[in-house]
Order: sequence, then structure tokens, then C-alpha cells
Amino acid sequence: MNLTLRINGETHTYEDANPAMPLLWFLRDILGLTGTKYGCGIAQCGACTVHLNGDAVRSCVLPVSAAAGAEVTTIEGLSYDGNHPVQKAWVEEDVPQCGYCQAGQIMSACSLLKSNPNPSDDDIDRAMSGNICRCCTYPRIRKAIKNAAERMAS
Amino acid sequence: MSIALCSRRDFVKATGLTLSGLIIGFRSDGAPATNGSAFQPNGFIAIDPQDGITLSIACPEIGQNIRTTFAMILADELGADLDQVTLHQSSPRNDLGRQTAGGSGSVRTQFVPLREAAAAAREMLIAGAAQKLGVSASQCKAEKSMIIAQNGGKMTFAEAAGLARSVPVPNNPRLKPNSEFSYIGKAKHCMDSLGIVTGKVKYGADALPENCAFAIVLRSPVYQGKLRNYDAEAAKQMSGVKDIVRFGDKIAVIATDTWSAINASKAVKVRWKNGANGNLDSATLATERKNAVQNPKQTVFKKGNFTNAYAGAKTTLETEFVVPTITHVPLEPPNCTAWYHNGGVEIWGSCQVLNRLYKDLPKMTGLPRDKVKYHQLRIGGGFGRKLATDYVEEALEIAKQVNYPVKMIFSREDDIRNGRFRVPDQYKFRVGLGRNGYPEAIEETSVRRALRKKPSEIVRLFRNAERKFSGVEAGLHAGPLRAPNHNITSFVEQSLINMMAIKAGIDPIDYQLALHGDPDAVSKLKWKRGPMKQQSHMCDLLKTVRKQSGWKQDSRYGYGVATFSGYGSHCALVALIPKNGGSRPVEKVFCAVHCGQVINPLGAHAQIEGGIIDCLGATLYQKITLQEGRVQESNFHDYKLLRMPEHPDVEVTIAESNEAPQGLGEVSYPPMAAATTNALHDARGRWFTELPLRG
Repeated sequence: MNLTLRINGETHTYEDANPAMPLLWFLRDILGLTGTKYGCGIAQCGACTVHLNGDAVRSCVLPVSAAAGAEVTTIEGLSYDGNHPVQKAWVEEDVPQCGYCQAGQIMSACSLLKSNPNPSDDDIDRAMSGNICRCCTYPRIRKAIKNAAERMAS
Repeated sequence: MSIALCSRRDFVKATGLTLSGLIIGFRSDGAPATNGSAFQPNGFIAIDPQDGITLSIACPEIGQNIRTTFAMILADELGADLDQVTLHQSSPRNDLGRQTAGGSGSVRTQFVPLREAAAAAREMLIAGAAQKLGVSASQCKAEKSMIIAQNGGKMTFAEAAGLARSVPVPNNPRLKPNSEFSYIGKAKHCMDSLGIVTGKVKYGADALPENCAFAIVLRSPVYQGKLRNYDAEAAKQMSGVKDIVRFGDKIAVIATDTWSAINASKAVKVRWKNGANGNLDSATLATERKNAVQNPKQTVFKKGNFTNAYAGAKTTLETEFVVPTITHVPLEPPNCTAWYHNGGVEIWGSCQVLNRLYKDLPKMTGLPRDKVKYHQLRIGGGFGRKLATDYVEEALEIAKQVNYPVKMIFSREDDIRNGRFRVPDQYKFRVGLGRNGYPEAIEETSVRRALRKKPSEIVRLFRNAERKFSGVEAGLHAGPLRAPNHNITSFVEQSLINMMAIKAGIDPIDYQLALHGDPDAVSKLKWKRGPMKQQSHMCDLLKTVRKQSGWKQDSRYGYGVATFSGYGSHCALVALIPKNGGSRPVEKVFCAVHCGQVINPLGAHAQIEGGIIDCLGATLYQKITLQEGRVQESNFHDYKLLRMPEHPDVEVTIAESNEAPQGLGEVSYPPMAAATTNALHDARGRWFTELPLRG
């Protein structure tokens, strides 16, 4: 079967699709959109987080067929050149260490700020607890989310 | 895709120059591509009239922010504008000094050699420009990528590059004093941040040469197990599968995408020969260690007379410690991509040890060095796992058998079950204290896979000491993990010191100060003999954290102190734990560090803060268990890491210093376990001597 996917505003046809393949591997191995990372494959670490119609989902457990017809946004599609307020906040707070988890962290943070423009520490804890940072940049991620909230408010 | 295997370009003079033991040669393989007109006095710096300034970063980037740090050092000494340079990640070479991300050694070993290389380049640029500007070299300075003469003449580095090419390499270039630095010591944001937050930076696992296939490897679930036989017929028929190949005792399933490879790997029927390790269970091993620590097989060290001193001690204490097996779980699992073609091999990797790869790649690949092209990509965390090179070897063994590029990646399950492990330790101590807690006698009994040859720091504090040991197998592939050895011994020693202080009725910070030779603390305790060690930096740090933490002033909190010296640096921590529980396991950590001269305060803070939180995660949760030789944990649901809701607030103070820069990647990790358990004791009134706390 062929699947049609909308990814970062572009239409992609996946010919002879394996409909059960998680979206993550279609993005990384077939489209070469490697900004979305593999960390666990069972929705435990959040490194693979992308947006499906604007909401954060774990692409490592989302069958590619479930993404057909929806708008998928990956880190590459969040902004053209890193000028999304969350990306700007991440740079300003100097968040990344190794940086491997940060695409997923940013996608989760965007989703949080969309539904909650002024999150409290508890809100941040709840929304970000599915994203592991192995370098433990958590304090700076928290600061960057608050920084982004201010940028988006002004 | 077209590649040139080790194209050799003819740069400047083909002679070498030795500076501080660092050979600065002129090999061009692995160096940044230039059009041949570049001024490239050594492997670190290339200045091209068109392409500008390229700084080569010899050390692998693993999140320690070394690319920014090394760029700051090179640019400062060169006089370059840091905002106008391009960074190039070096391949394994033999002319770039230390190319290893490990042992917290990059800055402390490379600070001077990098500056010497950059200073030589600066003097050559100045000499070349001065002639043209009609002044002497001494009348010129290099600033913001310009040569500026006292007579008002100016020339850009790009313009000077051509003139500098014919200048002899100076033997003893002048190194700038601190007062002339523009970047070193000032906060600099990570130069790769924009690339990271836009998903453009490539990690090892992101390598994707054209027509790349993806491999998952089946390895013996039991350490040192052998492959008996296998049946891959069903797997071969599965969707996406390209090839299934055997190498040694491993089988690789190669497919058109990672998911198909994972799926097909589950359909391969394998029979393993487990060997002796197949009988090992964690519960049985724990009992064995428990018995062994009571009945040690050998005495390995004696100093003074423990038995008499212990018998005559004013107070005694006896305690045991149990520390579990843990593993690294870098978020980017071990992986490597390789492609044999055109008589050579191209490799894309994210490995911590490029010096070792330089040495070993000819043997690993079966090819002469000029047929091997290795690209070092960013490392998505290592914590010691990528000090091993097994994943490079595996990718090469697989790629040798096919004619297309293959990316071999460990699934998370493979990483946890077939990784490297910090193997467990069990300790028993008997300690005799003199008046006011003076350390008189210590008996240390350790049970582990192999004896630690060097007596631990705490044993060296005592005049009467005995060390006893029994070996018990771990049944796992042991390997170094962040702050190797120290990540266990610091927990044990710093817990014990706290117990000694409390047993003697002395405030733990006063006791630490006395042990570190603070004259006031020693006289307060009226110790007749001198202190055990003199460490004035640590005394200053202890006083800093005592003040900043409001030590024991807020009755709602339990306070725990711990210290660590290593990698040339010193660290004192105070952890605060609310007595009535609270939502975070540790609410706040105050940390003071002495690490000599700081290159980048932002990067330094990040390393220190990350080390503290990383250790807290291990202290709370991490534990690997074995059943019939098989690791039982498999992924992040049963091998837990610390998450956002649990991180403490961390306040870091770095002591100002003009001493040589020291190591920072590991110094804050070791003391955090004991700072936590010591605070727990203060909050709850009982000792926590077995890790993990919530295992």
C-alpha cells in the first residue's frame, strides 16, 4: 500500500509502506530527517517527540499509518532557522550539553506552552516528565520554558 | 555519493615541530578541506583567503562542550574573532595530542599545547603582515582576526594568510598572559546550540550515507556465552531484510530500515552456549558477597597495629556498604556506520577514544591507514560507555561482508543487556576513634571482582590500618563509568567520615575541616597529632558551602556534607532534604568547586550541575540484576533515570583561581551519593548504606 504523509508542510508518498512501522523510523531512515532521535523505542524517554496536528506524540510507538492525513511537525519543521521562541529560549539559556534529547524536549515544551502559556513549576514537571535528559540539563530546561513563555507573551 | 579516500594536500612545510610533547605536523588527512592556498601551520588552524578561519577540534564532543572550550582557547591565543570562525571536528590523527573524551583530561592536558599551536600561528601571521605593512613584528598585534600595526596599518588574517605561509614556524612563541585574554574566563554560549535546537547537528547515529542499510546484532545474553547454532530462514523472508550475516559469536540482521531489522532479529532462532556465567544470579552473588565480607580471604595491606589501636580506641564503629551494578545508558546508544568500497572503508562514528582508534583502525578494518576514512560525529552522551570500541569493531565486521553502507546500532535493550557495567562492591569497616574523633584505627574489608590496588583515601587517614579482600565474580563485562572507582569509594568514604563525626559528637563540617588540615578546626578538636592531609582549597570550599547552605540553621531540613578531590579539582557539597518528605528527593544542593583557571563559566557550571543530578539518579534508582546470567532490566521503565520532577535546585560556586585549569566532567559526581545519604541521616535519624535507595 502507499501512504501519503504531510511532514513539515510537505507531502510525502511512502510507497509499499509497512503501515505498522513507527513514524520515527520513517522519518529517520527513509526520509533522512534525523533531528528526531531514537532513545528507547517504547515511549519512555521522549527523544522521538514530534507534533501530530500540533500535539506532542512519541513517534517511536506511533504507526506511520496513524500519521497519514495528519500534519506532522518535526524539529526541522518547527522554524526555518531556529527563530521559534522555544528554540531561541533554549539557545539563550544555553540548555544543551550533548544535545541528543533536546529536539524531543523542545517539541514537548512547545506542546505544553500551546495549551498553557504560563506554566507553573508543577505544570512543567507534569508535561516534561516523559522526556529524559541523560546529561541532566533539567534546571536549564525549566528556565528555558519560562523564558519561552515570556517571549511568547510579549 | 563520492568520497576521496584520504586525499593528501600539500600544505606549508612538511616538517614537524615539537611543542610541549605535542607533535604539530602537517598531515592533511582528516583536516578541514581547503583550496590549497590556506595558511595551515598545524593541525588545529587553517586560514583560507576565501573561506576564513577554521579551527579543528581534536577532542570528541560528548556534551562536555569541548568544541566551544577549545575554540575559545585557540581563538584567544590566535587573536581571532570567535564569532567568525568555523569549527571542524577532527578525525583520529597522530599529530593533535590527546583526542580522548575521558578522565576529565581534555582541558587540563591540552590548555598549553593548544595555546602554543595558536601562538605560533599568530606570530607567523604577524611576521608575514609586518613586512608588507612596513613595520617590525613587535609593532603589530593580532586582534579580532586583524593584524594591527602601531602606524595604523591593518590587514585581515585572510589577507595575511598568503604572506604567513612562507614564514618559518617559531620555536618558542610567546603565550599571552591572562590579562590579554578576550574569551578565556568569560561566559560563552555553546557554539553548536543553534544546530542542536534546529535538529541539524549530526550525531553518530544520524550518519546516513546513500543506500545505507541498518543492522541489529544478536549477542549472547550471557557474558562470554558462545553461539551454538542458529536458523535465520524465517527472518530472511521478512519484509525489508537484506542480509543476515554471522561474525564470531554474533549475528547481524541487516534491513532497509532499523525497525525491520529489529523485527527480523526477533525471528532468528538462536541457541547459545551459556558457559559458567549462565549460572549466576544476583541474589546468590549478593549472599556470596555478604559471606565473603565477613570472612575475607586475604589481608592485602597493613600499617601500624590495627588490633591494638582498635582495642584501645575511645569509641568504635562498625558498618557495611553495598553498592550495585549499574550501566551507562547514553541516550544515543552505541552505534557505528561503515562502508567498504573502492578498496577502502569509510566510517562514521561517535567514539570517545580517537587516539585508540588511530592506533587500532588498520587492524580493525584490515586495511592500511591511507585506505581508512573515519568521520567523527557528535556523541549523544557516553558516560564511559564509548571509551570501549566494540561497536566500531562490530560495524566493521558486518560491513566487510556486504557491498553497501551499514549502520549498526544497539537497541536500548541491547545497550542495557550487552553493554559495559560498573560492577558491584561490598565493604565492611571497623573504625576506632581517639579523643574528639581522632582517626586511630581502620579495618577495611572489600569484596569485588578485583582488588583495588591503591588504598582508598580514607585508609590513608589512619596510622593503624588493615585492608582485607575477597574476590567475587560479577558475571558481566566490566567497564569504566563516569568517575570510575570514585563513584563507589566516595560514597563509602564520605558516608564513613560522616558516621565518624557523628559518633564522636562533632559537627560533620568541622570534622571535615579538621581532616583537611584547617588550623582552627584542628585546634578546636584539640588533636595532639597533626591533621591527616593538608588541603587548603578544600577548607575554603567547605566554609563556602557551610555559609551558603545556611548549614543546620533551618530545622525543617536534614543537611548532608560530602567532599571529593580528583582530576586535579576539589568539590564540596551540601545537600538539603526536607524532614517532612516533600516532592523532590533532594530539594537543594550547594556546591563549591576549585578547578584552577576556568575557561568557560557556563560550560563549567553545566558540567558540575549535571554531574550532581546524574549521581542523584544513580543513588536513587539505578541497579542491574542478573538471573541465570542474564540482565533482567531492559529499558527505561525498569532501569530508571532521574526525571524533571525530581531534580534538585543546584547552586554552584566556582573558586576564582589563576592555577592551571583542571578536570571538571567528573568531580561533582562522586560526592553526591554520600551528600544525599548523610542528609537523609540528618533528616530521618538512620543510616542508608545500601544503594540504590529506592531499588
